[in-house]
Amino acid sequence: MAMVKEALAHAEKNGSMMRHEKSKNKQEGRRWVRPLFPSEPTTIEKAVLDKAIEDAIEKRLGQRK
Amino acid sequence: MQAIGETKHPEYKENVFINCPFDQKYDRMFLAIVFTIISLKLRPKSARVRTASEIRIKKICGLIRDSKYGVHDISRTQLDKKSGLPRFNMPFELGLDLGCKEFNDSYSDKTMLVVESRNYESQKFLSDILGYDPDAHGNNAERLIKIVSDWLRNELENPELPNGKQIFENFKLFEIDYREAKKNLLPKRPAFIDLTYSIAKWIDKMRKGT
Repeated sequence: MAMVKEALAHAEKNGSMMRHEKSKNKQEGRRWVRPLFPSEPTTIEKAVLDKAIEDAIEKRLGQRK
Repeated sequence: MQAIGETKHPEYKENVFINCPFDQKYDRMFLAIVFTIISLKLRPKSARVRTASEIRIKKICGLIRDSKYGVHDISRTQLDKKSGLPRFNMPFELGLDLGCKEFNDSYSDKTMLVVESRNYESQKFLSDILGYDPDAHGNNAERLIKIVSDWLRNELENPELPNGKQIFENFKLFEIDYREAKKNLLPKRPAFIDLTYSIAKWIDKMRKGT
């Protein structure tokens, strides 16, 4: 029973930390898509990657002008 | 596991297995290898893709079997600071690749590039490698890009593919853009699949002239 309580406390703590991280990231404008399954590699949405790459190229080219 | 004589992976002739360190100190060198492979229109394959459901060695064997080409950097065998023991994963995976080629006629067309950081270093701990003449990159990304691209362009027999100098010039620009792009992305060390997608996307955008 003690082990179950400990596990639940641990899960609760981790869950709240995750929520805290998520809200912090949101405030800083970062986007992260959680993988569908735990075994799946973390994958950022393609559309998000496309935009980030395109913006970075445009920023560099804009600075050169 | 695939038996001898069975059909190879449909992308076997385009796949390049990368056997190298995964620590942060090697990040730029790893990026250089991946960038070079994609610039030459090939597909990088790395055990950096982790799946919890698979036993690691099976994953590595699968990647080796599915890849005609193999880039092996065996320079990182120094003693671990905590355990005081050397790391042998890279020479071990090179051995697996060589074994696949040597003991299976279906895979005798496999070809591999062995690199190290300093000349003749590997001969001190892996004397059986004599004859493979590992190229030394001196922990320099430009040098590594030249070594990998020279080898692959030669294997592919396609002079129209970009050379090491052109790839390195693009690589420097990509690094600037990738650093900028990562500012707004998480995680800070993207998954391999995201990294390869970003590189392919960037190369495509630059080819089209944005």
